[in-house]
Amino acid sequence: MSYLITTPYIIKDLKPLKEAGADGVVIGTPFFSARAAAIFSFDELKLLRKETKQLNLLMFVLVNRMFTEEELDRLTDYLKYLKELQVDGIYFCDEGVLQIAESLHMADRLIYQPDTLLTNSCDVKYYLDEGLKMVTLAKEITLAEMCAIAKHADGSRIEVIIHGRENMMHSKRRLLSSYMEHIHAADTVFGKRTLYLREETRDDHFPILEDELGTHVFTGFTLAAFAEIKTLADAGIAYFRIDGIFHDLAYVCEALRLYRAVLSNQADGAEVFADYKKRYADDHVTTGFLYQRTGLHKERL
Amino acid sequence: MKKIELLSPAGDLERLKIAVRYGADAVYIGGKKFSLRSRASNFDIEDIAEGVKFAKQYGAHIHVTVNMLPHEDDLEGLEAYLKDLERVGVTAVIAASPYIAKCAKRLAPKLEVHVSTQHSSTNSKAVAYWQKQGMDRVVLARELTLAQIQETASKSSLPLEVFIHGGMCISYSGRCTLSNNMTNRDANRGGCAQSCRWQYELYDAGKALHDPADLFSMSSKDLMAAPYIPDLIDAGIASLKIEGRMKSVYYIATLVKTYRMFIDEYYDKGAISAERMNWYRSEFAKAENRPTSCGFYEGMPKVSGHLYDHNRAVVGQEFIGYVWDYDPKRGLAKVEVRNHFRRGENIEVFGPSLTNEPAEITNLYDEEGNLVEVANKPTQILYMELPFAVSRHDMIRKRRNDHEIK
Repeated sequence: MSYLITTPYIIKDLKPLKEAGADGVVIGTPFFSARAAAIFSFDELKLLRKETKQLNLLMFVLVNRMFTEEELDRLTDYLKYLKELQVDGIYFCDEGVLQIAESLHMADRLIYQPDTLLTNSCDVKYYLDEGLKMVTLAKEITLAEMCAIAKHADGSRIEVIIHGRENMMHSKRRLLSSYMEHIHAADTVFGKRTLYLREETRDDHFPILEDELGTHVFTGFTLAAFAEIKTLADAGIAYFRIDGIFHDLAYVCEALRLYRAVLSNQADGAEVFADYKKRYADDHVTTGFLYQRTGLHKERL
Repeated sequence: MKKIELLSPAGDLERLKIAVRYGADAVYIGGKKFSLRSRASNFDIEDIAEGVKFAKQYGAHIHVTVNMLPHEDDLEGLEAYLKDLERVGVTAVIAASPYIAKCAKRLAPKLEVHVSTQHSSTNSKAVAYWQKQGMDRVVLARELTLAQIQETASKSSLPLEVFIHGGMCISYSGRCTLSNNMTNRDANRGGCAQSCRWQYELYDAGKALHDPADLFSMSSKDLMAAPYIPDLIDAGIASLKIEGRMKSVYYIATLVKTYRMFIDEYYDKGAISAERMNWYRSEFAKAENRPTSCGFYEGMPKVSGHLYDHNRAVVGQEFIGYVWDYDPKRGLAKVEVRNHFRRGENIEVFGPSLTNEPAEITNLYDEEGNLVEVANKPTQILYMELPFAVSRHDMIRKRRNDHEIK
């Protein structure tokens, strides 16, 4: 079974997402969530749970903030609430979350997503052996490495991010506000989702976002793994994330339908990719690091 | 109460020995394998063994970074390597991968395992988690304020290590792949190209927001946290860490010496007066090659904590000579030239047991005994007349007037 996990923007999106082929949704809330495609209020969580249950959608919640000491009580209360709510999964990256969840007997709800840190099967096994529900692999490893990990660890508890703009840097600092102050400019930058960086010597647009959690920089490319999803699924990986940050419902639904078509052999992944890349030329659609090995030496692209 | 550890970086044996001679309690180094900053790592196992042996004579310890986040085929040889580190007497390994950490505990139980700052541990629950896993120390994230460090320490029984000086990742440590994306160099396997510090244009939906003459960049001033050391000592922090395995012998000597004096003075007198703090600031400034700030210690870094423009205010190198020997009869120091200097310039000499002894360069001779006016050949050996005794491993720097010190 392959589960497609994606990001709604409002509660009303759940139904069309389900119809387009989603099996689960990632929910962001204020304070606790980093880089959520959309932020839902705490009041909406109950309704989201009810609706996701009715639609038979998994409900995963982002608790991927790094917590400081004075925030731990709030974190503990929230985890208790999420347990009560019976959410299906909780993304986290701070081991403090794991420690508290263990004391609340809810480690089996946790999904470890440390962005960059999970790069081999030994570490994957380590976290799965801790009793977590699942883990999300780093985005900077190759397709072959992902398949090898699934061979040595339990792929049915592994998630791979297959589509969207990917986070490549998280600073706690308010880098944009500081810069605007530095150049004495009055433009609002906080919370804006239309900002991007361009490095002097290349054309890529790197989305950049400053919010309560700091500053986030995203890839200059949009990852799309239409041609690889079957290989990953065949290797045993069960969960695939389509992240809709900076996009909308129609965009996500289209991607869901295309991945479903590829998974059910109604479409050829490579052809879908080639066509998609053409149609979304401005988004710079690529396969990310799936074929791109990284190393130690200089190779400025 | 156990005295706090002063932990220095070293990129090779020469720097390791300098760090130990100048007063470091422990030195962290990277092996050629399984380490970040692998370009800064010149230690094979024989070098590590020699480093451990040398440090032992001074009661100092060696920590080895095994902090790579290995990919699937990077793990070969790990087990033998960890056993080798234990065999040669390394005190601790610094690990980011829990698999590597657990391997070390299982295969080389005499090694302490310190959890790398790449885990961005920011609270006592994360510390408790690692304690439960049998780890011996956690290196806290650099994103904490002094109050948060104090709070975390008050609720933790595991030894904690904090950064007090040096370059700071702009990102949460280990969570950045700018370098991977820009250059295919893997930041978490030792290839970081510091792409954060490049120059970027900033746009909002096509509209330029940047100043073309002063582009956006993601660069922090270096950390200088000396003013917080008394509080860190009182909070029971185990280790104070200086960053910079790629830094020079002079940088390490100056910082280690100054922090050594600072820490000892606080233990000795129970306080650092404002006047002494100013003196220490001017001493730290002599090592710096980038502007410094207090990082997160006082709260969220403000605009003054960042570097944007091309003017990165590089402090001129003032390290001019390394003392190889001293002939007390003739009052002549045998000096290896490190930077340009000339007769008549004001200098000061410092060393493991010498603090800022001032002098004016009078007579300088080459190895043939000829008088030399200008020293401008790096690594050349010269003989310098000095009015006081110096020792092998002392260093000579130009003296700046007080008004030149930032």
